[in-house]
Amino acid sequence: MSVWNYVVTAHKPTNVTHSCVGNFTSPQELNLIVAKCTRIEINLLTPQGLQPMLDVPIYGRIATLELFRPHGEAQDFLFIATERYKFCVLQWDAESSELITRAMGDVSDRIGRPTDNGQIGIIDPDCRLIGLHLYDGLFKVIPFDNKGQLKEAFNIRLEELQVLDIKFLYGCSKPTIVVLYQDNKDARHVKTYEVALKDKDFIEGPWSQNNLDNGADLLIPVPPPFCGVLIIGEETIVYCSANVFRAIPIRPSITKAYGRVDADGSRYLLGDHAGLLHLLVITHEKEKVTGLKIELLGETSVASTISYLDNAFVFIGSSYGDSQLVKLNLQPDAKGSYVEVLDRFVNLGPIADFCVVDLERQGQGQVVTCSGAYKDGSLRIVRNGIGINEQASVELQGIKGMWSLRSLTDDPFDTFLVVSFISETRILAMNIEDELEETEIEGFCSQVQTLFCHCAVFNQLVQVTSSSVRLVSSTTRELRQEWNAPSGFSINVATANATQVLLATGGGHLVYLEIGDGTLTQAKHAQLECEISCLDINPIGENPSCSQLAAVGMWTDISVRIFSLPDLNLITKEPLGGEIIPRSVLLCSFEGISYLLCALGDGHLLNFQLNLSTGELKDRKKVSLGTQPITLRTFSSKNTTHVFAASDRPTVIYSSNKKLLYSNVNLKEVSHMCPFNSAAFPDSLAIAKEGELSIGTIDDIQKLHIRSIPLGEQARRICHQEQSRTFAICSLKTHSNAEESEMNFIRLLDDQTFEFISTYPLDTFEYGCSILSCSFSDDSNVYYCVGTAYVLPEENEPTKGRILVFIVEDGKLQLIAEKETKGAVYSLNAFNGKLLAAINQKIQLYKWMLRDDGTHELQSECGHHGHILALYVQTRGDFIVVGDLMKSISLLIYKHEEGAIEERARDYNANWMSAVEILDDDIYLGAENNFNLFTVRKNSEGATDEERGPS
Amino acid sequence: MGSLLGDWPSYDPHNFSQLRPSDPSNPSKMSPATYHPTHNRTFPPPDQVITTGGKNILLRNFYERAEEKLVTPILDAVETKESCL
Repeated sequence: MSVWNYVVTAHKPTNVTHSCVGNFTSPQELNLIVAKCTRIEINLLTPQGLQPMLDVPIYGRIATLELFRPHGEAQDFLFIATERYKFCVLQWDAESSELITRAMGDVSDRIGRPTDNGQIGIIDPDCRLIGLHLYDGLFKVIPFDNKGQLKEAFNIRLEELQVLDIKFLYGCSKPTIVVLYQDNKDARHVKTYEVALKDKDFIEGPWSQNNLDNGADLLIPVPPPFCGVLIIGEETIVYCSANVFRAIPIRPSITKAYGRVDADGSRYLLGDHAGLLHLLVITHEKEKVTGLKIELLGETSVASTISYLDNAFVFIGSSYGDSQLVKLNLQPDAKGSYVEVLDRFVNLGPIADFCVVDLERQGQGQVVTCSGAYKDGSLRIVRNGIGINEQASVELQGIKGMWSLRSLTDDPFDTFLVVSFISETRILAMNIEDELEETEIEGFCSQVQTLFCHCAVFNQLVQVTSSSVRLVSSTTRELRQEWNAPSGFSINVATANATQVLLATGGGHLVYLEIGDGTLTQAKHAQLECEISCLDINPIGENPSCSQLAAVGMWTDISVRIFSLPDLNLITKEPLGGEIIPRSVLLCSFEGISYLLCALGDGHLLNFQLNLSTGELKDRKKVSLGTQPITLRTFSSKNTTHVFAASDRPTVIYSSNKKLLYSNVNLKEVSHMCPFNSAAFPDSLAIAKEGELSIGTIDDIQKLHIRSIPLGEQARRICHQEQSRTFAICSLKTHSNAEESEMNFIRLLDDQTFEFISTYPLDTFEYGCSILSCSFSDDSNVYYCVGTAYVLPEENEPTKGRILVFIVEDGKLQLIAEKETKGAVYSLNAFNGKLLAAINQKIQLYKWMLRDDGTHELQSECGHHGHILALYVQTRGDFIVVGDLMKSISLLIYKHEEGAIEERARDYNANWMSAVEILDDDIYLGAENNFNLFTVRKNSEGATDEERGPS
Repeated sequence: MGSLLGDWPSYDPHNFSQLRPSDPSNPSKMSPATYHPTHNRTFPPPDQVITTGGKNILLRNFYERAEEKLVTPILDAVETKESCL
């Protein structure tokens, strides 16, 4: 049993919570700064669009993100506060491209009730103080001194306990806040306070306004010349200042985000809960506000933040869907929308559920998530590894090697593809119709296997066979020179670059040849004490056509050696350890760092950092890529060099942030690969696999690939069924027109096309809570089981639900059985050929019974009470692990003879659970609603049941 | 409507002028380099490490009241407090 568990993040956060625009990286540059949970992203506005500059991890979930300009500064500072009450002020040092911390601190209080409506962090427009509302009844002030330095923070008592929003007012001689709050009769009002910094207290402000819209939730401070504040409600928008009050009715909507357009505050973009983008305009005569106007512009993702960028471009940050870059057009499109979406930025969150499936049946799981919310709901297929998009393929058995050749040394494209077999070599070339056809290079020997091929200088080609090295003109295709192996010796392995050839014959002979114009000169020979298994002279030094170093892998002593060229002096000898011989070595360079890669016959790969000037190897690392011998080859994609490791688990090796990363290629077994960059198939790879030669392009080199299937509704649960090749989801469709109405469905989707192929509507108020694909004892069919709850507005907890059993027939969902339950069916599990359901506070086991008429029904067998709400259930054998709403994890056992479920152990901590999983027989993993993961262990050694409780 | 929509503010007229709209089905793969601070300016100057003043607002309130009532002899105040106990 492992003592430690560890957690690795597979994907950075994508949910955009905050954004702001300002001159952060230079006084002249305009930046968009985006907060994604625990990271901020700094973008630069350029003529080409948004240019990402930096991704900055922050230790904490970001609660406030504000740009501000202290007095006397030429560029903006960034204020960040985290949910755990830490804050910092960051400044960009353009000279060193570094982020400098100007100030930081802890703004927590020992006593205080955290606010229900989220934390508020605001900065006085005249930079006199930072205001924070973190605890009910307290307003924290961090004052600035007259040099722009922060001083000790203090609290002021705030009478209003249910605060909805606080903003600073513009144009006030003393810093003044406006507070939107709810009283104990649920009426909403605004009130203003002046902050008296000296007395550390509030002074009654210049005005207040009582009895606002019951849905008023957002304040927008209006800059000079108008000043005052906009109060955004669900049915009205109000402009309010000391002496002006203007209101307009709006179509009922909940405004989620706003973005100021004009510096004078006359226009604002408002984003609502349905993703509609409105323009709010303050009409005025000179500096007096005369009224408000609102216009619908169009639809975007449901916005959590809106930032006007420049020249009618707007950033829509979203927590519920993809974030977007949109343009506001002067004229509406055919659908009447003024909004044009020009780019979108993937957001995987919020992930309500997911399943892991092997859709391509390659033994590699893909995660299919229920992502997004409301109209922005989608399924996302998250795939680890790199895909090959096959362009062409031919059947070819027994490929032993492949090389691409150009017809001229400086031709940008490859012309020939040399394919070697055990007793012949065939040459393929692109013809005028861009088809691959067989051709001949007269100077090549085609009756034998080719060991290596390469383009050489002076429009020449090199072919190495077991008996000779042939230098051929690539224009006339005729042999110009041949170097023959000494009689009695055959060449075993060979490598070459544009000017050099290195080969090894039996008996440990290492021969170095130099290529001239029509000449092949044996420049050096060395005899090693054992046989050579692999070679490489890929030039990674300053000269791109000539290498100063040679890497040589050895039999017998199982080592890799670095020799200098041209004198073949041994520089470094690195024993590899173990008994597996190196099968492929490669010199390569990533992000300015030189490496030696060495692949072993058992699928392991060693990498070393190589010092090019001394030939020293250091920083040895070993990874396991597969189980079969690996062949290494470089290729380039998007002007960056990568390495392809062909084996039973083909892998692409690349570098990011100066670290080597390994990414699976979604192909089964690849024996050989070579880059083939032809005019018809640019940037392609030729791949030999399982009796087939295929040409394809490679996906972008990155770890995770995400495909999005927009649903237009929110998927809440998902399940895959291998037998019917379908997915089933529980989904929720929200209609925002006229009355807010919700419809719940069970949908069946094809697992290849992801199209809806069948739908079962649930009843009014009935929600799908759980879904499972399973089969039962004595029944060979596979079913989808769905657990539901009737969520009635007048009930605190559901008291009624259903379990529905469907079969997929002719691509349709057929309801086979249904069972009413006394509560919400939060979880369903297949359990010993039966169905285990978590229904409110109870765990219930159902048998699948055959009735006399041949139909089936679910029959209750036994159950277990004693939970607050049993929300999450996992099973293993006869053990049942339950995650409770607030009582952490408990372990139950099903006793066959007694037909009963009993509690075996429990964790007595009060954890509000959000997921459970069984790691092994004894260790269970739990997730709780404070963003923590924890494990509990079953104490199997205890003498009594009590002792056997989790430790 | 046109009058409301036009005349969008412009900081630099060149911004976005050469934007090539991406394929809407193929989202932007913005992956900026991750920032690793390697300097020692991640800590602010010592006087810029901010904490909240030690005084609880209730105590502060008491002290302020006490200062206002300085006319009352301090001894009296102590006696009153003791008699309350």
